[in-house]
Amino acid sequence: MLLKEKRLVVFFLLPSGMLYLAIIIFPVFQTLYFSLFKWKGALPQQYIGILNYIKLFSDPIFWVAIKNNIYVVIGSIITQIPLGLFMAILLTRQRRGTGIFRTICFSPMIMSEVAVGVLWCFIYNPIYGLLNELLKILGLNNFATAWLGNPNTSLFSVIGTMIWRFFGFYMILFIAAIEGIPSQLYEAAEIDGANARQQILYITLPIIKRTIKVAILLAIVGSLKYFGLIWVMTLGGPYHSSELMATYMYKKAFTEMRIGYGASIAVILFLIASIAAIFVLKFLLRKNR
Amino acid sequence: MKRIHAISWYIITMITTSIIGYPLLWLIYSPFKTNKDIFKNPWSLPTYLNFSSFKEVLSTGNFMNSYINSLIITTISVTLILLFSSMAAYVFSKYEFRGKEIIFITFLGGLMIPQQSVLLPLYILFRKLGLLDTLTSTILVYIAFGLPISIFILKYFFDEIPRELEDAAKVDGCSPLKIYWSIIVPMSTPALLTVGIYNAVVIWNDFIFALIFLSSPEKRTISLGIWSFSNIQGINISATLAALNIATFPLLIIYFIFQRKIISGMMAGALKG
Repeated sequence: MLLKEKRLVVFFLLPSGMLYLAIIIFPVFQTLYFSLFKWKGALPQQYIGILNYIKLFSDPIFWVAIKNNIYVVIGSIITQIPLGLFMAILLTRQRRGTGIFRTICFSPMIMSEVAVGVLWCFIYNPIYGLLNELLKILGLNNFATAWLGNPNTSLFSVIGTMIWRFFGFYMILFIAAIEGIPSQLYEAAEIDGANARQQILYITLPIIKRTIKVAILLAIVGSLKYFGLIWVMTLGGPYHSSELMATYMYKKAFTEMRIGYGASIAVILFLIASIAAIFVLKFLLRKNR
Repeated sequence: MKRIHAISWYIITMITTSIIGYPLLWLIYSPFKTNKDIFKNPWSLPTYLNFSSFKEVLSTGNFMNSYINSLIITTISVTLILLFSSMAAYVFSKYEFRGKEIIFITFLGGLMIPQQSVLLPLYILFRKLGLLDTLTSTILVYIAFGLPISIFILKYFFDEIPRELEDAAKVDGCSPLKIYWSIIVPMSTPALLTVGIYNAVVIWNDFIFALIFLSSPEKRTISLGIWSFSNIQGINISATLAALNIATFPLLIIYFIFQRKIISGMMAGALKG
């Protein structure tokens, strides 16, 4: 390689490399380092080894957060993906209006999470909320509650909002996969007398099985580090009933300024998310083999 | 038989899409109602158009200011992401050098790193550098987090550009810098657009970084603007909905116009991420 080219390589990699190292790679290790200290606000730091982790694993709220994270993972998989798949199967029929229906279904993905969260706070509001009002109209008054203020319903209410916000993503993912299926397959099935239900069951679903798996794995990784809607709608409350690892980390690190302890939550979150992500990558690579 | 199918398809699709689309529709018409009307019946359509809520939001100086902040942050971040990531992707795609594999994989690793694992050190770093509560702090973070996916997508796009083109340019005496700028970049407009749109949507909608790094009212991004507006004015439903409306609609209109490109951009980003 010529000297001129060597210089070009260095010059072209420098801006990305420096930023990436300074903003992402180095801080990840720093977080690990911070987690080994007793470090509260402006007080002097004190090295305590893995004491933060020992405390963390006996912290009941952290376990609540992990449990809630698992609920979010499962909740996303069993709601968003089936709804996305259902809408994708409907909206791969080329009929007049298909485009508009698709546009509407995807639009929550374009809105900011804060906007979605605030909007749904109005839907769940106990006094003038749309949901309670609807229950009143339907004569189901007994079910009306303060959806976000009731510890029994807060997490599931936010999971409900997450369905609305994210299912469109999976829908588009499945639409792309279904449109890749050669139409001759369906034509042949039709000649053999297969009805629409059989075509979906024996052609569409088996072929897009891999896409469904990818969707499930994406949902797992996304849900583990989830923060946005929970923070906007419930702040993890009431009484930690909708606390997630990410919101708990925020509270410890930035509200209580317990930097060491907050860092240890971030490390565990990172580990769990990485293991899940490696799983995803392994899976995606296997597809290309 | 075909006809029955079509009719039942329309019925099912209409019902599901109306349920999905209703919250958006409600967001469009509700700010035109007064608070009293919303309290009385949140579902009802406005009987007359009441613009006072919109006026109220527009006269809240900080809210419109947050709009401008988001525009500034998004424009600068996306421009720099495109520049830096295309430079790196060009080198990864067209040159062989020692350590290339390792460096590339390190960049890819960034796809897996959750934001939470860098927040604390960056907070402390920015405080030391006096960058806390400046737009610069968020711009730096957005660029860094946008790089891995952008480099990844662009590298594979550049790989498809035939070598002969560059070889011919080289024979004509073009410098590598000129090849990058006048051949590779113009030929990659579709990929650059995809990458740009994906990053713009993510940055425009970001919440957590802005929440942590920006604190004073005049530095707020649109997400923080909505959040604080709804926290302060929460009881003023009509005005809060007007604020949501103003924050969301320009984006939705852009989405309706460029939806194909936006959807494919978001998919490319999310699939690889």
